[in-house]
Amino acid sequence: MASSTEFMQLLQKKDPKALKILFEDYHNKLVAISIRYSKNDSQAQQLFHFAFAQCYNLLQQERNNKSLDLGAFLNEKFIEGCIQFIKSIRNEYYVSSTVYAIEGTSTSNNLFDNDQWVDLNQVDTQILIQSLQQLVPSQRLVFNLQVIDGKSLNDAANLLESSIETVKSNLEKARYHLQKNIEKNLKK
Amino acid sequence: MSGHFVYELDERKLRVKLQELEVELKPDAWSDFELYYKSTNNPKNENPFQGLKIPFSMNIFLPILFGGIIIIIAIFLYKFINIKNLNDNKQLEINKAYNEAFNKDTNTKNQIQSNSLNPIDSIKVTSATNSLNVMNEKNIVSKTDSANTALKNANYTPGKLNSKNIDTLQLIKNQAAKLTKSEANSINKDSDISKKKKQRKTVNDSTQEKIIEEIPNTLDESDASLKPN
Repeated sequence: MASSTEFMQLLQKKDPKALKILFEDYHNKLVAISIRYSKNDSQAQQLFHFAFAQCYNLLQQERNNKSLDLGAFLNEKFIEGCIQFIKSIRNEYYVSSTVYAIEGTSTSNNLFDNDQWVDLNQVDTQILIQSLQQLVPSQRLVFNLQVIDGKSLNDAANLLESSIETVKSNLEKARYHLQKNIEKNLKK
Repeated sequence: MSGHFVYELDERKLRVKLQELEVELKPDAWSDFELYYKSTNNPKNENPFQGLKIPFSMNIFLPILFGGIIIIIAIFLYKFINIKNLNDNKQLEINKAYNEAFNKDTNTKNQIQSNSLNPIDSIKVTSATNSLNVMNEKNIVSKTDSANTALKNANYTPGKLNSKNIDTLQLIKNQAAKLTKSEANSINKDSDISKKKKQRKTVNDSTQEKIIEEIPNTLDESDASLKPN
């Protein structure tokens, strides 16, 4: 239904019924993406609203493109919207995410401590998402783009407007911290 | 990162798990999004003046503003502050007074000179001298022409001319020059222009006749001298 030309014409005419159908069709998948890119559920909801509205507005500009794959278009534009949203709140996010006011936790800087094999088949997806959300935004963005969404280093660097070296560095840090976060969350 | 760190996560499984992830649609999700979309994309209901955009560039406005302020200050200073020195003003006043006095003296001198000299007489004198010069030039030209015609009448070709013939020609020319000088002197003596004109006419005629009469005589003399005895 979503790929039909009539539906596309209705969307491009800003028909509210067509918009509701589009929302219902792609909500589940796009909300999952927004959860991956955000730090918590409330931010994920804001991110979803922002990115989906942006996708819908960008869809109006694709009137002449008759061979448009709506699913791929929405996926790509939604990820770009997520990056834009996270970048816009990065300063606020740095402050809130780098200050840990947790009592009674002893952090070890030894890299060889707690290195154990993590069987991801036994790990709950909720723990995985929680561990991913605990990453710093720059690391989380790079890990999502490179590992989960399958973007190349160059594409990730272009989307994040940073150098490839920075992307590589952030990716390595993200991998290390994600493993540590998973181990920490599994212990809980 | 340290090289000793062993990355234990299987990224393929992680990717599959997270890509397959889906969140169930909540009943309030659509209404929340609708509210958000209306608030962001329908600003006309909230603020009707928000859509009004005036093409107003600060890059143009600020230089114009500062330039205007500088010009206003410059005009204000120019009107109310006298930059010139007092010494210069005194010198200017002295120069003005000197110029006025000098102009008065020159005016009085000019008036005296104008009273002593009649401009009409001076004009008459200048016109007479000019006319005389013109007349003399005409006379010389006419006399040389008449001499040349006389030579032609005497059937003298330039190839036949000897040193004696040249001497005779020079004599003719000298006589013509003397005559013109005498005429000029006689004319200069007379002040009345009408008389001068009449005299000049008569003199011209008489001189031409004299020259014409004298040339054959001189030529005869010269021929006689050229002939072998």
